[in-house]
Amino acid sequence: MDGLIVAKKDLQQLKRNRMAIFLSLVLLPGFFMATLVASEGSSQEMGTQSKFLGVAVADEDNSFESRSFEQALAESEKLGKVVDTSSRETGELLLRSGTVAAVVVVQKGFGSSVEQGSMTSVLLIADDSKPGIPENAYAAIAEIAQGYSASVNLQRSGQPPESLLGVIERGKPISMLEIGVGIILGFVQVFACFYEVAGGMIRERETGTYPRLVLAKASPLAIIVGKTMYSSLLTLTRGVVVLAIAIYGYGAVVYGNVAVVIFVSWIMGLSAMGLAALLSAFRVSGRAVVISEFLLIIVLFAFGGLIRDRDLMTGSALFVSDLLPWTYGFDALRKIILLGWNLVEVLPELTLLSLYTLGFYLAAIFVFQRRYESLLS
Amino acid sequence: MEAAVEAIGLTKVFGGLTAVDNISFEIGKGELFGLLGPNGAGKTTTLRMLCTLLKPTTGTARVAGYDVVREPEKVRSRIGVVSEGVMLYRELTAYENLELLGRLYRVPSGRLREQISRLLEFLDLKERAHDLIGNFSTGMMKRAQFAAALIHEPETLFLDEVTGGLDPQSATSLREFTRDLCKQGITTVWTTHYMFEPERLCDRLAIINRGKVVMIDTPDRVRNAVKDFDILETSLDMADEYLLSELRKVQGVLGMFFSDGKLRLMVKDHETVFQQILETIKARGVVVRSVNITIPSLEEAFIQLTRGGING
Repeated sequence: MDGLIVAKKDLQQLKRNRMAIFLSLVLLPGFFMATLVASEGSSQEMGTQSKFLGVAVADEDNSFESRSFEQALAESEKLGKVVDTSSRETGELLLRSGTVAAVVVVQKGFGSSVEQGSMTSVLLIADDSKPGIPENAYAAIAEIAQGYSASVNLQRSGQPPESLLGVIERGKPISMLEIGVGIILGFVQVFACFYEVAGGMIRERETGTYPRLVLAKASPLAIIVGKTMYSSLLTLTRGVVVLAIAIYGYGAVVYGNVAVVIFVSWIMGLSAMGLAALLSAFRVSGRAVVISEFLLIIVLFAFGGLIRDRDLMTGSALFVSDLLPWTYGFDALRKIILLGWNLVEVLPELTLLSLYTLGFYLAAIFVFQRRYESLLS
Repeated sequence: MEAAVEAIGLTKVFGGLTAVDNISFEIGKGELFGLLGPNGAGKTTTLRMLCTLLKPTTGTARVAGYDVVREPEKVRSRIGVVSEGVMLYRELTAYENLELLGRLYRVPSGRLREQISRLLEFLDLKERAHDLIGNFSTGMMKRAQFAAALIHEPETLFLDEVTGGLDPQSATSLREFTRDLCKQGITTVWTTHYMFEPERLCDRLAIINRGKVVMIDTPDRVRNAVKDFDILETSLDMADEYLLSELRKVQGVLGMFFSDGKLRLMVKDHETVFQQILETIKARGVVVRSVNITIPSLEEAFIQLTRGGING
């Protein structure tokens, strides 16, 4: 009840601040979408970042030459782990589960063609919902295939699941714009939600309205809940705005359910709100919130899979990436938007994200209770 | 006397600094009680402990019959606070602010509308009810804060330096308003460092210095309690720093300050030092227009009690 009253109050305040409405709901989503569109078409760097890519090999030829080719792939320093699979279908299942980033299919006749010295080819299936993965895998495998006078036919697999398994040609590769929609959506939500909650809490304290709320018997929990409800409403609105700009403004295709996309982006925002609530429990200043937001954005850019896909990371970068809750959110959005997965299929990612969110909120409430007094002075 | 507020050995330590040191007092129902002290004496810290905004390090207090440490929620339901550190939302109107707080205090809707209307009328804010608080003058803002503090009809009101920064008219009207509230039975605790306010306004007052209560009594009794000095009130045609420093050197001058354009000297045994003071003034070439022996004001008593003033 108190949470609702606080949320209503925040909305009343927002109503009076047209600039904040414009920034939060129009400028932020519009700016990032426009940036994405502007960057579309930029060339993908090829063959320089493939050494951590896992590849499954389906040897349908089972000849001396095909086994030699597989051996060459396994020994190559240009690739990561190479998994031998019994069939192309198994390879595609491994690709779908994220165990490998690409599948190499050595089709029947490969050995005889090599023996006769004639040109042949291998099929490379790579997930093009991940930026840069198909190009990097292609470059590495093509170099090895050259030694066998074989070319590589790249088949992009970023289609809805049924076509992924059935290998139905989509007609065109997934565009950077489509890849970017989920990234931009998640990014905008994390960025805005963090500021709305942390900034809102700090403003309450710095302007002396926080003790007024506490004296009026609003508990810290009710205030956090109120801020969360307020920011959630904006998050859902922002989700609709981002998708509307992407779909109707720039013609992006969303293969999954739009409502699920917005729901997942809300959960991502919710985790940012939880982190913001935790930060604001430490009696930080408004300036500290801005610096924290800046750091959060840098971390997201560096380790959240925005610049470099998680599959291309290793060591500490991969560790940090795995620690970030939003990594799982971005992955879930990618799978829904580009691969058409449904809510149930992204439950593992959502569960992890939700656990982080719950953890942030519980920690925030704990710290708020412990630091109750310093927040009032 | 039934106690509305009861401080029992209240102590607050910040780090190594004892801001409030074992303070105890009682305030009766409907009493207007002043907490006086120089800056940093511990008045605001005491007030914040009484309003549940700070937890005492040791000791406790009972407000409206409830313990501030163990039952803060119950205390909050029964108190109103006007303080620089407890503000209203600038982006909301006066009406919206009062409505928000009334809802949080669970004032029933019908009663809340009546109460908002009554308070806005009473505090002369009705015309500006739907204006943003951010557009209010300092005086209007203070009145709106009074309305916010009274929205849930509290039994006890805590006022922390409420007249600071106000023009004389607004300050006078707030003092009168507070006096009226006490007549209606609302207990009021008033912290200030303006001495004339409690002198004219308060039923009783506590003088706090360095975190300790120096004295608790009525303003008259506090004045009369300090009998070991007289006030030599002089009207001079000029007074410079040199003259003041020379006067400070006179044996028996305890302190001095200006009031209403007159130099008031706190002196021990005025008959002995009178001649010496006059000679010091004349030696500086200053003309003495008048000299009077008066009883100490509350401010002078306060200075004596807290050993402050311009004599240090």
